[in-house]
Formats: sequence, C-alpha cells, structure tokens
Amino acid sequence: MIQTKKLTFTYREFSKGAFEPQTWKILPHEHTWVHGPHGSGKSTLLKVIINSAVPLLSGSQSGDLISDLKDEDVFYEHGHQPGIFHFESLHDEWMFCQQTWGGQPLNRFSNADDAFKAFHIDHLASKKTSELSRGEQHLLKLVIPLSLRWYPWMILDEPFVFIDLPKQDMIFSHIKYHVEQGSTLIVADHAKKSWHQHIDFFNSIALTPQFEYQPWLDIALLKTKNTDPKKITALHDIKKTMKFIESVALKPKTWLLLEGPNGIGKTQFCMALLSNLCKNKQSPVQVRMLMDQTRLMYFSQTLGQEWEGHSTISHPYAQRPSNALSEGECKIEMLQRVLADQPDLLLVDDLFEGLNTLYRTYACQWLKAYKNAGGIIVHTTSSPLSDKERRHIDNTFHLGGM
Amino acid sequence: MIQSPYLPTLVFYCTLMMLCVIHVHAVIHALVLLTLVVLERSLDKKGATSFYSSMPQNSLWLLALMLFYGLFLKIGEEPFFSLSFYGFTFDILQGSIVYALHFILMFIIFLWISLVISIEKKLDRLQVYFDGKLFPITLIWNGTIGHVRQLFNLKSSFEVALKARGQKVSVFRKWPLYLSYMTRHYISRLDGYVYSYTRFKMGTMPDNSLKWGGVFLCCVLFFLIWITKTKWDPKLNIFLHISLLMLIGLQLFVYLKSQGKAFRIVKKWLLVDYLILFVFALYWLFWIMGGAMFYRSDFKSFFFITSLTSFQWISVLVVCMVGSLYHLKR
Repeated sequence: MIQTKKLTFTYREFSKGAFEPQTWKILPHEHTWVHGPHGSGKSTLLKVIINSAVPLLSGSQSGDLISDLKDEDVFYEHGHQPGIFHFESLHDEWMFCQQTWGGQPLNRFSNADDAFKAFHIDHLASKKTSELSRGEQHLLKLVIPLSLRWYPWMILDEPFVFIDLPKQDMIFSHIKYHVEQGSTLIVADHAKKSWHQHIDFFNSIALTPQFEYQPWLDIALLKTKNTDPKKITALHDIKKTMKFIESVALKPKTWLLLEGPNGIGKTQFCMALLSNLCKNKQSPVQVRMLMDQTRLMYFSQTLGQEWEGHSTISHPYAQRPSNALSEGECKIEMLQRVLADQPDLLLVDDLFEGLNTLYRTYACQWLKAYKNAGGIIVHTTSSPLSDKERRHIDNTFHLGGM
Repeated sequence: MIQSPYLPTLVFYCTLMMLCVIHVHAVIHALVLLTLVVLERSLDKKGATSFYSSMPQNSLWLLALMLFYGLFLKIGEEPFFSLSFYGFTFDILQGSIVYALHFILMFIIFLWISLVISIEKKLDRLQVYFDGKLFPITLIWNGTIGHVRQLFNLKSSFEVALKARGQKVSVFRKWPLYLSYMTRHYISRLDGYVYSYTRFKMGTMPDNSLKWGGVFLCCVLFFLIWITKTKWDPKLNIFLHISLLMLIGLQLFVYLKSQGKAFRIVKKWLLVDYLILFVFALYWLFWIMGGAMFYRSDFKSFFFITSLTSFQWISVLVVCMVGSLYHLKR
C-alpha cells in the first residue's frame, strides 16, 4: 500500500516543489496512471515513491508518505536512463542477473535461451552488449528483469521510449502476464492510448507544471534561404559515399523519413552523414543534428548560456538551469536551438520519442517552416508517425521490412 | 562444471598496476608501458580505440599536469629550474619532477589497463569466473569497467554533440568544457546506477564497513600527499602502505564472509589457480618486507638502470612469471 498526504518534493537547487502537494492512496492491484504535460513532475513523483525503498533523490520531501514497498518487491524502470551492462555476452549478463535478482520460487525461466526465445530476441543473443543499439539496450533493460521473476509492484516511467512498435506489443503481453499474477502497476507515460488498450487503470493522478516553460521559437525567424549551387554539389559528393542515399535526391526543401526497427542502423547512418560532412572542412554545407539522447547536447548551466552567440534572439527562460528541464522540454528546447542556426541540412534522430501531442505539433510546424525556407531534413523514427505528421514528408524509406 | 582459466588474466593486470604504483623508476614504467603496447596490439582491436595513438593528442594536457605536480610537490634538494613570475620565484626540484612523472605515468597506465581490459576478448568469461566465488568483488570489478566505458562513451558523445551543434572550440577551451560536461552528465546518471546496484542481493554486505573504509582510505591518501609535500619519512610511508593493504584485506575478508550461500558456485578453482594466487600474495609479502616505495629525489636514481635494487629485479621477475602463466593459459 502507498498512501500520501500533501506530499511534495523540492530538489536541492530549487525553492519550489517539483509537483503540487499530493494526497491519495494506492492499494495493491489498483493500477495507477500518472499523467500531465512535460515538466509536471511525473518522473520525480515516481522517484519519490521509490525513494522510500531505494534512495534515488537528493532534496527535501514534505508531507507524509506511508509505504510498505521493499526494494526486492519493486521493478522500477525509467525509460530515459541509459542501461549499464556488466558483461559483454548477453548470456552472462542474464545469468548474472538471475543469480543476483532472481530466486526460487519466483523464477520465470531457468536459462537465458528460454528467456530470449519467449521474448523473441534470439537474434540478439550473439551480439555483444557494447554493440547494441540504443533501442536494443532499452529493450533489454525491460526484458532481463521481466524474464527473471515476478514483482508485486511495477513502477514504469515512459518504459517504451526508443523501442519499436512490434517489440512494444511483445513487452505489453509480458506485462499483462505479470498483472495476471498479481502485480500492481504505476505508470507515467504520454502514450495513453496504447496503455489503456492493454490495462484497466483504477486510479489516475493528474499533475500540472510547477515551473513555466513553453516552446517559444518564433516561426518567422526561419527565413527563406538562398541556395548556393556549391552546396548542392557538396551534397551530391556525399551521396557518392553513402550507399543508401544514392537513390535519394538531397535537395533543398526536402524532408526525408527513415523508418525502421531497433538495431537497423538509423542512428549510425545519421552519425556517418554528420561526420562525413564535418570532416570535409572545405564543404560549404552547414549541418546540425538533434541527437536521440538530447540531454547530452547541453554544455552549459543555464539555457541563456546555451544560446550565446544568437544576439538577435532573446531567450524567455534564459536563467533556467538546463539540468532542470524534463526529458520532453530538453528535446524541444534543443530542437529550437539547432533550428535557430538555420543549417542547410538538419538530421533529427528519433525526434518524436517521448514527446506529447502538443510538443509533436510544435516540432512538426517548425520543421515544415524550416523545410519551406529551403532546408533539408533527414528524420529517423522507430515508431510510426500519424497521418497528420506525415503530411509534409516528401520521401519515406522503410528499413528492415517495417 | 566449467573449468575456468581466467584468474591469471586478472592477476596479471593487477600486478601490472601495482608494479607501477610501488616502484618509482623510469625503467619499471617503461617496462609496463611496453607490455601494454604489445598487449594492445595482440588483442582484437575491432571497434576499439588505440590508446597508444591517442597519447600525442593528450600530451599538452599531461605536460600541464606535470607542471602542476612539479609546483605542488617539494621532494629532494637538487634543483631543476626556477620559474620567475611577477617577482615570485618558484623553485622546481628534481625530486618533484620525478614524482610528477611517476604520477602521470601511473595515471596513463591505469587508464590504459582499463581500456585494454575492456577490449580483452575474454572479458566476459573473466568475470563469470568469479561468479559464486567473489561476487561483490566481481560486482565492483564489472561496475568499474562499466563506468570506465561510460566515461569513454561520454567522451564520444561530447565529440558528436560538438559536431551536432556546429560548435568550434579551441584546444584550451575544449578540455575544461569536456571536464564540466563529463562531470555534469555522469552525476546525472548516477541515480540510475545506484538503483541498479541496490537490486543486487548483497546478502549481509556491511554497508558501514564500506563507508568507513572509504573515509579511512581518503584520509590516508590525503595524509600521504601531505607528507610527501613537506618531508619524506620512509617508516611512516611503510606504515601508510601497510595500513592500506590491511584495509583492502579486511574488506575482502568481510565481503567473503558476508557472501554466505546465496550464490551458486558454477566454476571450479583449479590447483594452478590457487598457485597463482599464492604467487600473487607472495609478491605482496616481498614488497612489504622489502621496504615499500623507493625514494627517488634526483634524475640519476630515477632514470638509471643501475639504481634498481635486487628486490625490484625480483618484482619484475615475478611479473614476468605471472605474465608467462597468463599467456600460457590464453
């Protein structure tokens, strides 16, 4: 049982609580849906709940939290947190985890091969953990604990980011198995529809943002560019070295979408394109990329410092610390930053992962304006886009039979 | 029952690290560095960065570090040169440069060994060896390698982020920027790691002994640096090193004791494994009896091969022996 009374949490760096005071009670088998816009404190709330069993946060907690959660009873997964693997071979990793986390009579599978077969990831068994793609790593972060044992409580914070749709369905079937065995779910995610299709939620906790932040870049700033013929030639030269892109017209006012499952090489493709263009110092093509791990693109303490050099743009949240942004805010803020540079070519890797509908709409509008101003967009995705989002895409490439 | 021959690998790397910690001599460092060059070339380097080739890139930073050490440490009496700066004069002694070189080479060797271990083909097998025998040690060992990898990954993320944002920074600005970037992003990830470690069943692992052991270790290290800065007392030095050893031994004992029967023994220890451990322990014993670290206060004793004592030659011999065993078992 978890019960709260006027519970809130204030990070050490701030004077204001990360979420509004919470008063509710969750009993076993009452699945709970935590929702709210980006920056409303969903992840922090889940961490506070876990904090009673495992210390995860530094700051001050006010109000009451009564919880009988023990660390071995909880499976906590934060989708944006990178996984750490202790072994190079997946078999060894699984065996190691089995001996340390598992234990009779709760063991689900007796050996790694059976577990991998049940989760349809036999093809990954031969791969080294250091060679896994980001999506595959995220998948294994779920597969290994779920295949080891049963957990009375499962606290999941956007667990499916970077995981492709077929694998999400497969994981859902295993989560349902745990629920049938008596697990209680507490979930925070923006993909409400897919969760409500599979699970009947009993409670709903709605959160509202405590710190003001809205996407703010003025679309009018993305002015029409004059295309330099030299740039077209440079892009043509790049095409020769990139086998895949040979059949694609990389010309201004184009938006390309690369769609494919995890591990097909989408990120590697973007990286290769980026380094190929950056390596050639004579190349007139200006290129920017929005990395999938957007948080790793921040260098400075405050958002104002991140925008140094753009004297014409006044940042409305210049004083806000960059590490105080939520995952979604982090992504949308950096998209604005790279767009403001008005590059010739913009690579966006898994842009929509972890973004809610509002932020996705903002992103689409900006990319459309950038494209119309003469920009080229190469966009990758693991999960399908809606028809509305596809409207302005000129070419879609399906990789790996997706 | 799988018989595992991977203890020699681990012992070999540990011995290499210890050798450069305890022997303040250019020849010993050169020997270890040479071994690492050979090792790195003999390993499967598919997808791995060559540490050897990245050395010249980092030379500027290492030079700055050496100057810092040179100014900070005051060892020996033989002067090397003087720096005059707006009326202030800094005397840099030969002993300071010797220890600066020693510490920098130690730093390079530790980093390099971490990298070599991470590209070692049999790494995964090496860790499985300890499964059920020395579980917490395995966890720390694996975790350390995992974290070293994370640091390497953060370096490549930093390089990609610079390109992705079109940032051009000078060499002088790049290193401070990277250090602040690495610290910030690494700390932000720690929460998740702490959680993943607490999920491992540690039996009755004594958290307090770890905590106090860590505090003790930090105090001892600080004390050691402070002592070396002012004056060098060989007796005190021996005492400090023995206390460090005792601390490591105590921790190991407590770990083993706390394991209980929670973990299944899946690997068998062979007679030769016990023999290697015995040789390893003997090496340490020799070192303690031989008078701990060697005091070098001038260039002559640091660089010249004639200043190597018989005990140091024995140490090198032991390493060669362990190295041969390691290669025999590969």
